[in-house]
Amino acid sequence: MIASTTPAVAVTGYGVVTPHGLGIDPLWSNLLKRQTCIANDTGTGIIDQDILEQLKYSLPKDDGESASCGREKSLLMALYAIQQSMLHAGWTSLNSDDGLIFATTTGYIASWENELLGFLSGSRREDSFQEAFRREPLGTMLADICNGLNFCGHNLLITTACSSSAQAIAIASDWIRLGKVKRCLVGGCETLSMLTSQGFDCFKLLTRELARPFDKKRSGINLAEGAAFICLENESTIVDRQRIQARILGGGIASDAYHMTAPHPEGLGIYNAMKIALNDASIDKSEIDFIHAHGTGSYHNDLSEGLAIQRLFGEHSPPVYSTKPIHGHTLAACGVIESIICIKTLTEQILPTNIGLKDRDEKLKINLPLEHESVALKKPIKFILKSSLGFGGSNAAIVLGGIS
Amino acid sequence: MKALLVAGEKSYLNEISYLLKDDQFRKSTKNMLLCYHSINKIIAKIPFRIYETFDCNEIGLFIGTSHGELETTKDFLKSIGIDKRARPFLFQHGLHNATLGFICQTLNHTGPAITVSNRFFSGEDAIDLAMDWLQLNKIKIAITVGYDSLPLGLENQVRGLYPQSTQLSTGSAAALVLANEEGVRKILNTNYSINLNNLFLERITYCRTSNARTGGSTSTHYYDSNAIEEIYNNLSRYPNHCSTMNLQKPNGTYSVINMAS
Repeated sequence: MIASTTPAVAVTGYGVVTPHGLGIDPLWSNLLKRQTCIANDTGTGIIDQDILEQLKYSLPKDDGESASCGREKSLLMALYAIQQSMLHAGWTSLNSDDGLIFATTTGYIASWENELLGFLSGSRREDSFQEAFRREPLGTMLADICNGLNFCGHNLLITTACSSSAQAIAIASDWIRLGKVKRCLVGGCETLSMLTSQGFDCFKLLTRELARPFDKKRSGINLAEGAAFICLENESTIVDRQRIQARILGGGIASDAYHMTAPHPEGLGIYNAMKIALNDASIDKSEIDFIHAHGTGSYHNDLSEGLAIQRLFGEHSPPVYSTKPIHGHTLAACGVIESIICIKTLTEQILPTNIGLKDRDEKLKINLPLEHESVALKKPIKFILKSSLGFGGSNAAIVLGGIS
Repeated sequence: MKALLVAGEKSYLNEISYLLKDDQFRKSTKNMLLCYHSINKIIAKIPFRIYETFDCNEIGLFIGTSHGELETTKDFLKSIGIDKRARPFLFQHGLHNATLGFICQTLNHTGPAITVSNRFFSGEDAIDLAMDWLQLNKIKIAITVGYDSLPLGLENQVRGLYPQSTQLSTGSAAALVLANEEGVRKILNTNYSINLNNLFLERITYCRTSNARTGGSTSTHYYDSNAIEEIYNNLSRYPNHCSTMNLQKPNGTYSVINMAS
């Protein structure tokens, strides 16, 4: 157990890039308007050329060699989200006693997978493929981010599939609690690739319709691109309290040990992760005001997660929401993007909506507000539980708290 | 921060050929079996049973790898792009986290489990994360594993990512088991006669300079996460000996690992 003198971890800034646009404003306003970024014909959310051009213009041009105009799309997204989060937090630079934790499932793969196929089929020369293949190791992207920030402090890359950035947030909080770093930048980035699109598709996990998490007729996932970062600090060192957006109160990580892709049928791993997170936060489950679920819209994920919530909270659970129909499933980045939505919920005191949930899965006896149901706030939203599930049976949960 | 090093092991490709022929593992990758074999060797030699001595949430699993399941990723992309026939199990085995998922499933590990990937520091990062968790007492014992292998069909391309002088391993894995004080007490309470390697592994610090230091590699072949193997090799040669290891990386940086009895 962490001692009661362990420092509290504050969120002082955040930055996000989604197919809705740059920053939190387009994402949040579209969330309130119930407007999705998922394309009708493909069922995916892509960072389009307009947003990409805005990204290029937004980033400083004198960042150094790795920040030249030959940057990968994913690197541009990550650097922009970092820039915005640091601006929001009032950080002018990263110091050597800061930390950086980055989460991704596939890194730069979108930039070299076609080259690989060309090489294997004989249509690409070995030397031209080798140039693209330089970007294969995931650590290359982390190194490019660090070089772009001129940062040489503690850095780490987590790659546990869709639970990566939620795990990263939990670990970043631990770094601050331990005094290993004074501040920590933590986030994730994912772009769509042939690997992930075709991979999910061959498991019949995707849908061209809008995803309908927890709905009886849910038919699958909408993949999307996105990047987000948050700035974490030791709360006791913050003089200007108005900089605090929210708190990370606790985190939990646990495994299913069941299957490489399918979640445990009763959500054993995510159940344990949620329990550990609540214990770590010293919060009783009755204090949780709402649960931001992983809620992908896939049959098995939603069932497992719903059963885990039911087991932990009972039938009278706090309201459970998934916002993936608005922004899509951004794989490794989803934990941090959705945590930012939770932070925004805490500051604005507005609950999201379960877009697409018209008819609840009757196997789930939890509080699932339907699409048209608005939940009246009987008391301020103070504590939110965020859950994430990933392939390989990797699970993570975070407890976020408001500033009051 | 100190963590007690309980045991270590390493595995090479030639050791797992019998596993590759085992029906039970017919769909497993060589990386999965390298990691599994390393952990199994530790489990076989330590005089207590990790998964019986400790509760599931007290055991952490930390895997470090630079290239992950690259060979399987390549095979999946080939299956969709060239063969035009997607093979789902290649995708599920092709993500970096697939190895972790396999180990968790095979060992029935339901505690915390994390995959890290940071090029030349993948092994150090796995150990460092384990030590953080031990220090916070979130876990009492940690299994750290580092692996990498040359993917069939891309050997030259992976070699091309390193200086020409680097002798890459065709496939290796190494594992260490670390424990904190409470974990040690639990181990000693198992009533087995314990023969622990009485070394305390101090916190790893990274330095990124181009100054080469003495203390070369003890591994015959290099892989990005081989810090774990280097520690094991060092202990095997110099038990009960205070030492500072300087692990030089192919790009001229190095990491420093301090060990004291």
